[in-house]
Amino acid sequence: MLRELTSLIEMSFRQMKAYLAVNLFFAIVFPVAMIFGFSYIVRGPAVYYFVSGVIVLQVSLSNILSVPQNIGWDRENGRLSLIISMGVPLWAYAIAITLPNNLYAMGSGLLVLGVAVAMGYLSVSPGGLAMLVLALLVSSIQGSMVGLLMAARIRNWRLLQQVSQIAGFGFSFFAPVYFPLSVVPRYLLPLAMLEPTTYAAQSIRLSLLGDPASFVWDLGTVVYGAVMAALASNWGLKA
Amino acid sequence: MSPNAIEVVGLSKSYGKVVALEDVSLEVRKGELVSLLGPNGAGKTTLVRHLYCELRPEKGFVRVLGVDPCNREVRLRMGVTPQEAQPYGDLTVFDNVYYAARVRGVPRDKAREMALETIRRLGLWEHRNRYVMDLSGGQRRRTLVAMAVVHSPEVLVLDEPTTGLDPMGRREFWDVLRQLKGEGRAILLTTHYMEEAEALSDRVYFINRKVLAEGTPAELRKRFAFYYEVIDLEEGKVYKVREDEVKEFVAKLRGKFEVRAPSLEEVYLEVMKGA
Repeated sequence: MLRELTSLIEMSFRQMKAYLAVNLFFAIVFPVAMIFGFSYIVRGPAVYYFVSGVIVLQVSLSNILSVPQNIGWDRENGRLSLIISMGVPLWAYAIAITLPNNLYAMGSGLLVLGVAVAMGYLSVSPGGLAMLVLALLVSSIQGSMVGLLMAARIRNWRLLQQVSQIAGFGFSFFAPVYFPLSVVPRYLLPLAMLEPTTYAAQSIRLSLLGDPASFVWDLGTVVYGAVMAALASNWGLKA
Repeated sequence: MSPNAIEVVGLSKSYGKVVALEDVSLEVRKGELVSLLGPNGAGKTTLVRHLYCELRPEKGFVRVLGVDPCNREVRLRMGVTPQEAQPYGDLTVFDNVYYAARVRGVPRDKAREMALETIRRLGLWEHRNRYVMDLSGGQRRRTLVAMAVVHSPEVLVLDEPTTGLDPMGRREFWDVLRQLKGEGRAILLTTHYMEEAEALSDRVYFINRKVLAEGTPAELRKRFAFYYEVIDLEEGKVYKVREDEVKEFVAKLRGKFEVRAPSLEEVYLEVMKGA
């Protein structure tokens, strides 16, 4: 099964090649331009919110938005049936879809950090960098699980497209990503805690600061992702 | 060992209150091409989806090469083109076919060799490095079939593979099917096109939720040929004449005439009308 799985993953990377220009734009040009553009107006402690926010946006777009869209598009074109007919388990297919997105998000996140550091916009300790890699990993997987759940639950392609777009952007801007969790009104806190990016944002920002509290948020991210994975598995991906 | 490549026994399936299949039994023997004919919503695709384990039977059972198709090993010996399935548009023809072999566990070098051979055989050689999204409908269908046959399966299940193809593309596709059949594969084909079933099939099943009739195209035409069409070429008129009255009828005609047994399409319409 390992050979089949690696072939599927290899195939997913090949597919990215067909849309290389847009993939490079969103992975490199878009986040770098954001950092350059906003670095003149975002200053002081807000810098950490801003940089972590841009990283979370990349994670969200690559996973919460892209994963369900990829799966929905494949389902719409009968390719989940094709995959089943080839004797490939859908869990292997799900890994093959999510892994490239995870790596894409992590690479893009690290690039954002590299640009910000190179510009002297912020500095990160080696320990903080290690924490960031862990935070990026768990956040990407969590985002993929949210995407998988959407794809499992919503079988109508038109609806899935809309929901994933709203979720991908909504979770990036209507969650405490670019601003502190502490400013969220008490009555909105339960709602904020339901948003996956709340966990990812705290974990990524604290890791940039080298604060070990990021591990607690990592744990929250993992638990959140596990619940999404369990729900997605319960509903199951269907062709 | 069973001579049947595909065996469906007493298969039933419902979607809520809608009955899709009711006690359907059929078989496809090794080396045989069998067509499933039925109107839209007759349950053809539902039946096919059971054959590669996308659906599980509510009642009855399905066997492919003597084994439950949910067994992964048997699906590796099958090639399927699900209805409305498209190859990956963002991969080249070669990559689609190559990875179809790889995900079935074929080693890299062997997969490459088999993919190139299949592409050549299906007339896609010139297009092998083009993205599938840039191909015509017929070429995409061929790519899909190439993905289904690249690993030399013993059983092929093709769900409406020629829908949407122009007459030329369909004829070309028939040649491919004849070639595959000639290689001894068992093929189950669902189609709306009677002439396709008549031209290609060893046997035909008419289904509309249940099996309404089964036999070779010639047997079915014979069994349901209750009348003949007599064409008076002098007058340009067409008459429907009962079998036992044909001789007497044509004896009265002056000049040239033609007597024609009902086509499979006419038989099909007759059977569906009576269902």
